[in-house]
Amino acid sequence: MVETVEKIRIMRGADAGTKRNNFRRGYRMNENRRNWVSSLLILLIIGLLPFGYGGSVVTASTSETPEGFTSIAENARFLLFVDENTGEFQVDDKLLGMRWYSLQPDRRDDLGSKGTSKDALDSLVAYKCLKEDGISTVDLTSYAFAVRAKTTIVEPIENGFEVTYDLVKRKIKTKIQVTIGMDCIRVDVPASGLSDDPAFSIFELSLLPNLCAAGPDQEGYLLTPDGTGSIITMNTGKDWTVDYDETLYGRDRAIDPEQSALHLQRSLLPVFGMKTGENAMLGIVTQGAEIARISAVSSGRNSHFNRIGPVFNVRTVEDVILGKGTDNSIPVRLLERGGFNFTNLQVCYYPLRGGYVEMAAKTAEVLFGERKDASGQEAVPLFLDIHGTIQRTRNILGIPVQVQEPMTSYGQTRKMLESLRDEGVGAVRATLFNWSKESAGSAFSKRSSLFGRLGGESEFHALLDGQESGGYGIFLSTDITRFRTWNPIQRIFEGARRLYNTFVVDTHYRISTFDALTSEEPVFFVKPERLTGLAMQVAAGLKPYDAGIEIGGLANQLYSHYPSTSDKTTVIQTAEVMQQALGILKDSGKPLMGSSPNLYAMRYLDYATDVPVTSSRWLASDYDVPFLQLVLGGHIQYTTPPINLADDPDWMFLKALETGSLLHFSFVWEDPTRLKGTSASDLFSCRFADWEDRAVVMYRKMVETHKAQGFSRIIGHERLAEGVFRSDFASGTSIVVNYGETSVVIDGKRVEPMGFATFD
Amino acid sequence: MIRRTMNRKKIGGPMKRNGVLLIAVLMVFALLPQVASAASYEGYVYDSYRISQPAPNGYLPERAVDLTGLDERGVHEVADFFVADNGEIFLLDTGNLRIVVLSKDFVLLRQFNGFLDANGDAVEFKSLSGIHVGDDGEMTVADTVAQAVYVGDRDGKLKRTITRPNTVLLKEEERFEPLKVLTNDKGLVYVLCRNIYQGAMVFDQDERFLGFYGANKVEASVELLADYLWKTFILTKEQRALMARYVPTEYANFTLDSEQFLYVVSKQRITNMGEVKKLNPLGQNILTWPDPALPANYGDLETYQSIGGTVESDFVDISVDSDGYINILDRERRRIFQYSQNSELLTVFGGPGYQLGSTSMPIAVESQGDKVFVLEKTGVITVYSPTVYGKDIRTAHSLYEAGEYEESSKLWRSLLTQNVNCELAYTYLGKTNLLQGDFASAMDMFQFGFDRNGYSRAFKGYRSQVIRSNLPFILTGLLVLLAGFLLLRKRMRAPAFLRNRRFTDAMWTMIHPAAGFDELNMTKNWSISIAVAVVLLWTLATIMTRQLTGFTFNYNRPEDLNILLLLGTTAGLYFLFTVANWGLSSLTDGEGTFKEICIATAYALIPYVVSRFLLVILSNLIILEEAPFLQWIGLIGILWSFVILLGAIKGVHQFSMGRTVLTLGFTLVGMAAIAFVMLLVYSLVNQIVQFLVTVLKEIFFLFR
Repeated sequence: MVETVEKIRIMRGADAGTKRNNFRRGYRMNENRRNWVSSLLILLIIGLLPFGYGGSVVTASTSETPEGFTSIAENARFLLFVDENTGEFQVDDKLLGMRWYSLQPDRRDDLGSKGTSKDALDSLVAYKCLKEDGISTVDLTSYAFAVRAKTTIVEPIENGFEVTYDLVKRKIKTKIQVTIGMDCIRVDVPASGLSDDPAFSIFELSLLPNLCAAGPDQEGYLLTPDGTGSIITMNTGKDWTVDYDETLYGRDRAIDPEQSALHLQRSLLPVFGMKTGENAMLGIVTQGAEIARISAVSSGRNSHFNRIGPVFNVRTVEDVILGKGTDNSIPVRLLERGGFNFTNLQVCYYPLRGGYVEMAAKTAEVLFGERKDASGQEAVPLFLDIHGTIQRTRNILGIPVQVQEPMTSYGQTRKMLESLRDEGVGAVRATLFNWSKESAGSAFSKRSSLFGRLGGESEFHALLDGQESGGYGIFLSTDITRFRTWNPIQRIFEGARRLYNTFVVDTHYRISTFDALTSEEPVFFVKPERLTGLAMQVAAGLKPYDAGIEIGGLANQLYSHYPSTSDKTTVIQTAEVMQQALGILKDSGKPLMGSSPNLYAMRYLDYATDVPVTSSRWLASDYDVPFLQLVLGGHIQYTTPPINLADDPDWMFLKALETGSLLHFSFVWEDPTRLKGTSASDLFSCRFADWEDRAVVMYRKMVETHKAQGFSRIIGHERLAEGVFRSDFASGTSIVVNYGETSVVIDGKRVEPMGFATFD
Repeated sequence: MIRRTMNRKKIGGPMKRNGVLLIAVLMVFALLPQVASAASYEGYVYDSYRISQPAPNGYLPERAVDLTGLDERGVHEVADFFVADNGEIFLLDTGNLRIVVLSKDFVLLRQFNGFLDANGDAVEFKSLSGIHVGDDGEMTVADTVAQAVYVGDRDGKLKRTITRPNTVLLKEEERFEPLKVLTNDKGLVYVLCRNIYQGAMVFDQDERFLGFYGANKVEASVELLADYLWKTFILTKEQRALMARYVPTEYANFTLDSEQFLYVVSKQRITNMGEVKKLNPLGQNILTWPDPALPANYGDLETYQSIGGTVESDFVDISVDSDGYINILDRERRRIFQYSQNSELLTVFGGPGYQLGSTSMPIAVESQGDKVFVLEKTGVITVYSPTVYGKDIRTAHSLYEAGEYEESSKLWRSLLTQNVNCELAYTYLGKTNLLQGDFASAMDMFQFGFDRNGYSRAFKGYRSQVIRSNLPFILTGLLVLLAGFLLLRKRMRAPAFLRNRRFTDAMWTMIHPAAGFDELNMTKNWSISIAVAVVLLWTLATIMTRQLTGFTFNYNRPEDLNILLLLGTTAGLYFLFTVANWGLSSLTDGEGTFKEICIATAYALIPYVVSRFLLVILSNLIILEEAPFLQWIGLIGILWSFVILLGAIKGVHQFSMGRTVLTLGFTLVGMAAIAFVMLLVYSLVNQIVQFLVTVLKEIFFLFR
């Protein structure tokens, strides 16, 4: 501590001037060199380079150095200025001809914000800390405790600078590294640069809350990754509802399992954005997304700025009630012990011209690389979930007995698929759920025991053998993240643990009251360290079968594991282990399919089912856009959630057309009245016989829609009017979808309510 | 959206005339247009076991309209609203003490800060809590602070003012604080007042008080009875006066349907009488519900335990749409429950939260056509529209009610493909099958729909059909059996165990309890095996009664079978009795040993056990109208066993009859005492365990 104070004193003292001069000499461009010739040269170079060019060209800038700032790094695209007293920075974007601000220059005009909110406008980082009493929390900002106290150190690093905020009074220190790349501004927070004291334990860190911000005089929108993607129009001032604040990749299943009342769409991509005027800023959380939330607010609440940015849950905090249900119940707030739950946080900001469509294109480029455009010749696949058995309580001689009730045998599955082929469905990708004793019971073994009641070995092999001739592909569901047991010993050896030292369970909730259903056989999450071993077992077990793998919870279930106070596996580490497990499955050579996969899983998959076509519809949001599908198109084949289980199947079909999603249904063969009152009662409309004709009609309509050019990826999207959207496809086809109650005429074509029209 | 927001700030304010606002401006404001689609809540309905089952959503949010920026005054703290038939929305803006009238597109049409009296003077509102608008635009408004109800015409001219009536029906201390109001087409004004529990106050067109209408009754309960006895026999009059009095459950709100029937909804759960009532002119509830054998309850039937206790539905408003479907609003879970006129739950929608379709502080519900409007205290109106599923279920129901059975059953069948959990569809298909005379199918459908009345009617037809078509075979079979029995009777030899002396002695006691047990006491020819068999058979009979009683009479959920519990209520009770009796007989010089008491008591149970088996068999063969047969058999079984028990105790202990009866009475007291001690021990152990668990957890958190 003494050393730090001494260093600050020196910085502010005589040496500070010398150091500053060196600083400027090394990194700042000579203002005399900024003339119109060099400007032209830059423009020429930029013009010759493709968008997103590489190389660290350092050349003269046309920009004036803002007062109080120092230019600290420059490349062909950006010129970075920093205020070495505060760490505030500005970036000149030579390509777009505009300047991006870490703190809004007109923030003093915001007379509405007060206290911490006002300080936050002056801060690059804001903290939420738990005080030593273990209950109360406090909001701190870098401005209030480091900038004002003049305990901020700015030091140059390659391509940028590192700012250290020393909140001396609160014993908190944060190092933030800001660098410029060839197409992005990168911000890093290494865990080694973050320290605190038990008196103020940081559990939330809001990073650069003002970089993606715009004042009330600007028009545009904020883009959130909520489900398919949603737009918050700027300056709508919705102070009557709550701000958008949603966790990326879904919540940590080990934390607060009782929070289930909200029916949310997960954010599958660690992305956010802001569009103002012609330009946009895209943010991608490239490290630490597993612990991040995206927070967005439209002008009007606390501040007049429209803002969006990431908040990191750097430590787990959980509120639990000790002795719940007894007279001695007391609420307790638990804080994760030990270090922070990350090694490095990194957010990359990509300035670009355009809106959410261009942001999606950039996201795809950064996250997935080059696109694989479908040739348009391949048959459009139809995706099916087929449920083999369901667990049901049967009354045998008056005694209730748990049995696996067959719903679709292997032979019936084959009939189903062949019938679809006969109806002209070109290709089917069918995932079998509860197809073996292991998959039904979520147990793991090297061998899969097939159900005799579903047809046994012979029928199963006949189903697999018929894939080529039947024009279908089979995927076998397997979930290595969860297991179902009453056995207490198995729980101890295999179950992941919460901070609260109970097991991490996959609780089912009562729809009406949102409280946990305790009558069902509990389902536990597997210790993360067991996942790779289990993946090897599954790969070996499924080797004899010529079928793909449906990866279950590896796609979308994240959880931490706290085996003891000194040991932990964070969600970031769990995601890493899951990726290793996915790598093992991928190496088995089988195609992989996942349901509603998060980004870390998406990269291993060939198919993504249940990709959300709506957002969570927060009241803070204004409308949905198929941002997610615009990103995924050309990288992975994706489907809607099951159409037959949608509130309005026709609406879901239109959504499939609008978003370029493939069709997806969930079926059983037998009489579904057997499902009533079982844990599968949410499959309330799934008999194949009831749905076959309708599914075929929808499939034919989709194929017909893309007939001229072939099915291809979505590349453009526009909201034409209330409830009317146009989607453009790589093939040149455009589809206009009308969800409204009245018909509209587009380019001379009438689009009926709940209808669509194709434009080639 | 930006332009809309900015516009609303620029457009000018209202014009004042004699202090009363009457303004007609067209104004666009923050409308949150959203196309109906996926919901922020999951659909469900309750099955007949009162368990929630997933279902497609019947209603989806169409839009949420924020009225806080309606004009430069904004809307603050709204209290109520009314959606007229022409689509106009009348909103009570209590923050600004005005009535705001909006078009169906939520455009501000006019507003009233008060009404103008005959002299043209302003009668300004002091508070606003309830509003009703007639077909001619006549507004009836409740002003709680002014203790008045105002009736104004469409232009805001005051027509009538209703104040506290001079009546002996109101106590002096009872104030007239109107909360909700209604005016029917005859001009009668109904007023719900704060702290007045006698029902709605009714006033005629001349502001005369006609009386109270349709009060809830005080619900009889064990707690109430205990309290009543305590107050009546223990407390003095002064002490009684200080205690809270029992009053009927207060009405939360009311509404009129198109036929001018009054519907009321109570605030809290009423266990037996139903929270929703449709009142006839005599104030009687004429709303029916599917199974009269079960209580009519509305809202969420599942509850959960919170720190404050059990959390149940808390109703705040009710509305009936033009097709007669009833929407009730639950403030607790922010949901709307839609019912038919037979109290069948069609769909549930809404929920807590800040997503489209979720609400945080809902206070009122209105309907227009098949759309439903929910008002939040903050001034946000959410509009819900029916989905295809929601429309189908309403249409199918309406078609059936209109006698279009064929069309109706087509839709019900379609609904089953949309939702296999839709019990209503099975029931209505069963009804159609019944009308068509297809009894077997009707029985299946009614069983899936858990409609016991329907099942019984179908079974009646089916049984008649079977008997009629098989009568010759049945009669022939019976005659053959009878002849065979008569012919072979002498040659037949009963199995050995039936000829066993101990068995015959036991059977003898069934007919001669006094002499039989006296004889057994002397011969000591007791059979432990028979006693054990009887107790086990009792347990079996209880399990079978629970699980295998005919569907018409069986309300148990087979999956919930708890054999341990049933063992406790049979064998456990048996041992409790024998132990208590043995303990008591030791004190009263009874001669019977524990073994003898056990065996004799088991013998006494034989008629009861036999009657239980008989009941299980018969319940599968008879219909609802024949239920008294079952009751009689059950009663005979109990009485017969009781008589034998008297003989058994008398014979075993060699007591006089008087002493036997007394002993039995004290045995019951002894059983209660033992049960109480066991309960106490259980409670103590439970407390200790809880304490230890809490301490261990505390230690864990201390050292973690």
